[in-house]
Amino acid sequence: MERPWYRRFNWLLAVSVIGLSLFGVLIIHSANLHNLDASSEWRKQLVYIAIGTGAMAWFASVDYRRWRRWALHLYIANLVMLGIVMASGHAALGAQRWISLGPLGTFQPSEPAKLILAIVIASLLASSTASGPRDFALTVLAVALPAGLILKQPDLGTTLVILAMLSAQLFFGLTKPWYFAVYAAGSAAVAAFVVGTNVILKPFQRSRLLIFLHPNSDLRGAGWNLNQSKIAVGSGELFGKGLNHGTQTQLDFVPEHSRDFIFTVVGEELGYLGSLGLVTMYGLVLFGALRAVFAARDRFALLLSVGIVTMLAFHVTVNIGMTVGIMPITGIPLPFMSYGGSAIITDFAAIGLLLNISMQRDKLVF
Amino acid sequence: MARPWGPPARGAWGSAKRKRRPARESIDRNFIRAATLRAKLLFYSFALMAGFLLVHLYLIQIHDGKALAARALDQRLETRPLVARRGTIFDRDGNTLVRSLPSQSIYVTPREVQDKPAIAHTLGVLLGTSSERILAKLRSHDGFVLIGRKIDRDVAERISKSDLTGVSIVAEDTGVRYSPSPRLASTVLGFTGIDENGLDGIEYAFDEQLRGRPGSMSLEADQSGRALPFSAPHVIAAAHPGYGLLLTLDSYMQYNVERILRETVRKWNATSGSAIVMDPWTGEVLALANAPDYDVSRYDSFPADSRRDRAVMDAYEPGSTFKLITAAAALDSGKVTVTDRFPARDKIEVGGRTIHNAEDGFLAGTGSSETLEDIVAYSHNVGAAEVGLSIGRQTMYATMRRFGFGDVTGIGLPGESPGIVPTLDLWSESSLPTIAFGHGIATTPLALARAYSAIANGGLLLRPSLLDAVLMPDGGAAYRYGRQVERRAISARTAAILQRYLRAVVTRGTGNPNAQVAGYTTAGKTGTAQIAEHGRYVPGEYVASFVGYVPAEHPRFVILVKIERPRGAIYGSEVAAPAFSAIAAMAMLHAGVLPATPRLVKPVPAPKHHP
Repeated sequence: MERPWYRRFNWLLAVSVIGLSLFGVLIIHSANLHNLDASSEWRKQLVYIAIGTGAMAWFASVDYRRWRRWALHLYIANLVMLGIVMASGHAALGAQRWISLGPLGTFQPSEPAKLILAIVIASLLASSTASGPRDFALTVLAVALPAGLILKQPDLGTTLVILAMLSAQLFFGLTKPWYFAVYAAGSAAVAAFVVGTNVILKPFQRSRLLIFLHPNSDLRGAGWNLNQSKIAVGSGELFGKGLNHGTQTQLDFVPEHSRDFIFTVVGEELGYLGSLGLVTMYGLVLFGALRAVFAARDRFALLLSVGIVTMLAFHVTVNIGMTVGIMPITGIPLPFMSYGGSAIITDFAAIGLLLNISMQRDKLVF
Repeated sequence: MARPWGPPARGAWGSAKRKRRPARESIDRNFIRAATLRAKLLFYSFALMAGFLLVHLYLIQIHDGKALAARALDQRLETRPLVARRGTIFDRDGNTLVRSLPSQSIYVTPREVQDKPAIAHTLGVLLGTSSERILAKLRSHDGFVLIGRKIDRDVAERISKSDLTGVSIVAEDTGVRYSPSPRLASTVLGFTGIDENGLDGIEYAFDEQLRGRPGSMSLEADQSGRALPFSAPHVIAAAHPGYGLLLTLDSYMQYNVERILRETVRKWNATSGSAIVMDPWTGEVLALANAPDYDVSRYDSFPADSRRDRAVMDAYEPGSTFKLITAAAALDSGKVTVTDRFPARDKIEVGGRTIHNAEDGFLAGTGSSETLEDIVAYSHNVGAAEVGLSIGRQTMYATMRRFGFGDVTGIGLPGESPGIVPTLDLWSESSLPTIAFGHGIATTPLALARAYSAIANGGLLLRPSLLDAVLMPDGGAAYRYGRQVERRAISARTAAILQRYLRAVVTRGTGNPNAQVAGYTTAGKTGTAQIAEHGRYVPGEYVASFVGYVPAEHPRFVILVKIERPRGAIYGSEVAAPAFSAIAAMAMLHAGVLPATPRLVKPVPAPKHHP
């Protein structure tokens, strides 16, 4: 017997992400108080949140299995968008991560790419009851192409998110633990090669990746962001300087303070209590998201929810971690907080998927 | 057969074409158990990560919070010095001689400059400097770079009008030293460097008083070091402006003395000259002029030689003006009386040297005799040598020292020369007779003017002063200098006799008529000295001088004029005495003393009134 949808609905997850995103608007507003160029960001973010909430509602209402059927189409569309970015980026003679949508602004295909790849990986690994080497190889190859394109942009952070997602999904998808052990050992070797040489990564990306290990080695160069964000967060102490009263962030000592480094604003203005509150809110979001994992009643649902939860958790951990100097500076946004339409709409859509998976629990009859 | 966790019926990708929902899959309990275990692992790893983050946030925000907050403050709080306004230098009447004006400097914020070559070119043209050098600064990674320090006002105005992005003008309320008449007393006042640091003259000697004490303020600045508009600067310590200096110089007299000196130097094609006007009763220097001089606002475009304060720094052999010191020694020691007579001769041999009288029309002739007064009035070298020989070296030396020769006067100007007075053990046989008429010793014009002031004021040797008072920034006196008496040089009686002699020089001796001034009485002594170079007197090169005072009865101004290497005439009476009398007339009129025999102006007949 089915309960009405609002009884089955994962309110915790939905409400916590909406609350988090609205809190983010407050922080974006504060971060840009003295930056006239960006003074309208908080209004735009409200619009993105509205669109995102709509997307979340729609994804929550659509049976998640539909995405499995659409996986190949989504995958191809994703490759095409990434190809367009590559082509236009090439034309612009430099790094480019977005496609211009004319008056609507810009669109960053690497953001939905994460969600699309979560669907693709889940459906590939769910294709057999016990995924073996063949599924593994196919999955890795399928991920390598878009991930390579994203790395080429260059967007190291998103590439790492995808790899983390892949790892978690393989962890759940590969039935025999030693398969995963082989994968883990192989990826560790690849990681050592990538980080240790300039073959894959550009030197500036490598130095940014590794600077957190030697935070004081290059204070004016690669260590600047890390050092400054640490100073900003630390100077908040227990109670913070008060909303809108941050100095280090608003005075541009910390770069990108409405985007990748938005956590520094929270840390500086709201102090340790604010940081604690924010981490707790992310804890609630992830707790709500994990409900979907436990509610999953088929392999695809399980793997998809694991992918999305991992994506969110990786974003939060790496983003906050980089501001306090325990994670490399990779330039990925803080979900639901950082300013940016593509990211926030994708995140809301991902939550919508989880909401739908969460509601499946009661449908199952043993 | 159920396919737990399995795929839809067909294909790895599922099938878009397939409209039918996939059949509900049943669950393999073992798999669920395994998945649940892994999900729990995932959950705990998230909890672990959250804990990890919170611990690190605790370390940064609570444990290191204070230190990082201090660093943050330190980083955005910039301490900038508050420059103290340099004190003003006034003449004795409070007229400004030198003061400090606000200044503007130009800075750029390289980060904000868009078209660097274009901005560099514009600034280069406006500032008149190399645009390449500016471009290099624009390309630097510093936050805030100085481009032009203390630039001209009109240039600053044009730059601020052109409103270049990233270019800012920083104003200070001090920084530029300004002199309304930049040549006036330049050799005395000296000049300052770009930091308003005194480099010469009074600016250097009294730099500590003029400089003031800089303060400091802190202000919040952004990453580029620009002060924030919304933060109020906090003054940590206010700047204390420097003290003002009230000099004893009289601008009007200074100007005229400089003019007369310059004209005299030019007229006789001399290499240089000095002139001093001193109040004999107080030791105050009312005018101190040197030629050549320079423009303090462009000091670096003049040779260092033009900037010398010759009257203070350069010792010279005074020649006949020094005979008064010999006479003072003779009279004050009682070894010579006013009635004692000396054989008149034009030539004498002493210690292997022949001393001659000057061929200036006042030769002594032979066969007669002369008094000390005659020797002074006619400036007989031979007579002076005989007087010197008759009083002895001890007396001569002691008198010179009592008059302060061989010591600095203590006026406080940099580089003052004490002159050269050889100690007795260095004297040769010819020293005494030579020193008696002013050779073989050296003195600065200032020290000689001071000695004449002692004669004029009845015998008191004073410390000459250039500084009347040190002023607080509000104009009140912080310290006032009084008359400083060093010692009695000679008795009042001796001084009175010497005054009579000096009057005789002007009325019937070498100072007649060139040192006379219509309507005023003057007294003084001519001097024509040879110039020694490398231990030898240079033939044809002389220093012509005149030292005296006006009026003769109750001296108000001691005046010294010294002209070096005049051409066409060499005698003090001819070269220096006219300048003396011009200065004397000017000084007396300026002091409000009308000539005793004013030029008569024919009275204009009153118009007749017809009732």
